[in-house]
Amino acid sequence: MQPAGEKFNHHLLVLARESRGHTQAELSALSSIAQGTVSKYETGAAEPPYTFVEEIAHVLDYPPSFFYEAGRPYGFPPFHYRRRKKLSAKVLGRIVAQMNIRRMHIQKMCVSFDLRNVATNRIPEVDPDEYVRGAKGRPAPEDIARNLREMWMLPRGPIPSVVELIEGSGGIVIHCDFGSDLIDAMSQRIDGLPILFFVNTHAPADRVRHTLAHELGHMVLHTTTLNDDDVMEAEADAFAGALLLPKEEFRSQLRRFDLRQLANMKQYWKVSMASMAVRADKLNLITPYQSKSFWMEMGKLGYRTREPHEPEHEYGTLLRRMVKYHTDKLGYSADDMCKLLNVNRKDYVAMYGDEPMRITEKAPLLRLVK
Amino acid sequence: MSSESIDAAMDRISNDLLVHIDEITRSGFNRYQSIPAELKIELGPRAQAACIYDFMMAEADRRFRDRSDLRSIELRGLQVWAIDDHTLLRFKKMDASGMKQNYRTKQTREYDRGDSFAEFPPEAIRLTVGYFADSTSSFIERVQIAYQRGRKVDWCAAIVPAEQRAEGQRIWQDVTTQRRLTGTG
Repeated sequence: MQPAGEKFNHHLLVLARESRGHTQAELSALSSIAQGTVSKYETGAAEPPYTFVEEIAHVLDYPPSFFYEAGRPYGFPPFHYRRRKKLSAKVLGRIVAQMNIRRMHIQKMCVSFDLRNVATNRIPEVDPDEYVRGAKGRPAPEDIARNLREMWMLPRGPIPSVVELIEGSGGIVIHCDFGSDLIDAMSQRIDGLPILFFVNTHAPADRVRHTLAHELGHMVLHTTTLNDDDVMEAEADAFAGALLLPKEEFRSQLRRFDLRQLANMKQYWKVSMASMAVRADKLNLITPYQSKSFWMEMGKLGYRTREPHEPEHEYGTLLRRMVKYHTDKLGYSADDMCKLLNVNRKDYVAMYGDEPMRITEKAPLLRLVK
Repeated sequence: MSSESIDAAMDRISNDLLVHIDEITRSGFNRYQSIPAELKIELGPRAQAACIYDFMMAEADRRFRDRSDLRSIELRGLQVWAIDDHTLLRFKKMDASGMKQNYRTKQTREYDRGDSFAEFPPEAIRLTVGYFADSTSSFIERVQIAYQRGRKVDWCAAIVPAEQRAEGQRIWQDVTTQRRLTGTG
């Protein structure tokens, strides 16, 4: 039955369709509804009857109440995707839709869960035109990363867990199966919500650390000041390098530039050998010939896709704690959670793991359906 | 010094001993890998090889000291193990072909040349046990036994670990590097 007084949200029809990876034509073929009708309902040109909502909810496997939620989807700024260039629009649309759904879930859980109790630091927004201590003139990403390490009182040496650092600073790390290895992470800063970092579960652990630091760089550097995509990408990379591998320590340890030494340093810093080579190159610690030889050797050994000595995976805990708070502290049953989040049980288990549902086998955190 | 084929020399070493040799080598290598990364960063390849060598020798001593078929011989810092007077073994880091990788000390050159020493059984074949590591020096690709004479490796055998061995497969396999034909560059 149609929820009394509730209005059909046409944005969510698009979101639901894209989250399942369907085009309008495919949705039409899967249902008894003409594509033109779907199109009109999606654009808000016409108000659908409840029978349409019921059918579409069945086909897309969402509860009908999902389509009566308030709110709108948010796009992601293009520079906040890593390795996005080869990604098809359809796959990207599906990922963005899934991200929006997760964001809506977090928004709902934040009503009862007070994030201020868990985050001690905060992720700043730096205007590079503002003064930054220790920098001459306009600060470089290197200076800003160094200042952030100081502000967060990080000791010398490696960052033990980038995920913990971000979550302790008011961000939330959400592990998702993007269904593609062409994209590693996306981040989103929306007023009234913690900064969300979506990370591809399939990316190697060392790359995830760099990716998160890169995304953090975007959040710190590119919230108030925007620039060309390539410039912002280079800045975020430089920021990530400086945050994970502080210049002075890195330089003093790189006494030899060979795979053996890089492998040892990787075990210490938990940063990929590839990232260290890029950092060494940027800091002019190696010659162009050394850099070229390194990449040739890495390619020959197959290390450009996956390197040895992968550090342990880092997992965000905040989202799980939010769910647990609802189930354990507030007494939400699994059905209550499904109603709160407007998802079916299968999706709920897939997204929020086995704990709330007492499922023994480990489920993926988010599964995308092609 | 005798010159023997790979089959004759390797088949004379018991399977039980080859298993020990494999485990000693891997244990020495793995013990080095267990050194905390912040310390390993400060150790160069020479220190790494020296540490692994010492770990291997300590393990060999633990395992071999009570065996009646083995005796340890030390000659001016060069430690070798004699198997029943027919084979001499020393431990060293090597490349894929079985060629020793460290600086060739005087003792190494003498050992490989087959110079006669009163302490060594005269007819014993002088073999070198070693490990061939990956490019990052973090994993053992193979544990090998090589027969090197002078600067030339006559043959090289790899010990096949139990978990990689098919049923009925011999414990070692010939991994001697093929020589180029004369005149082919």
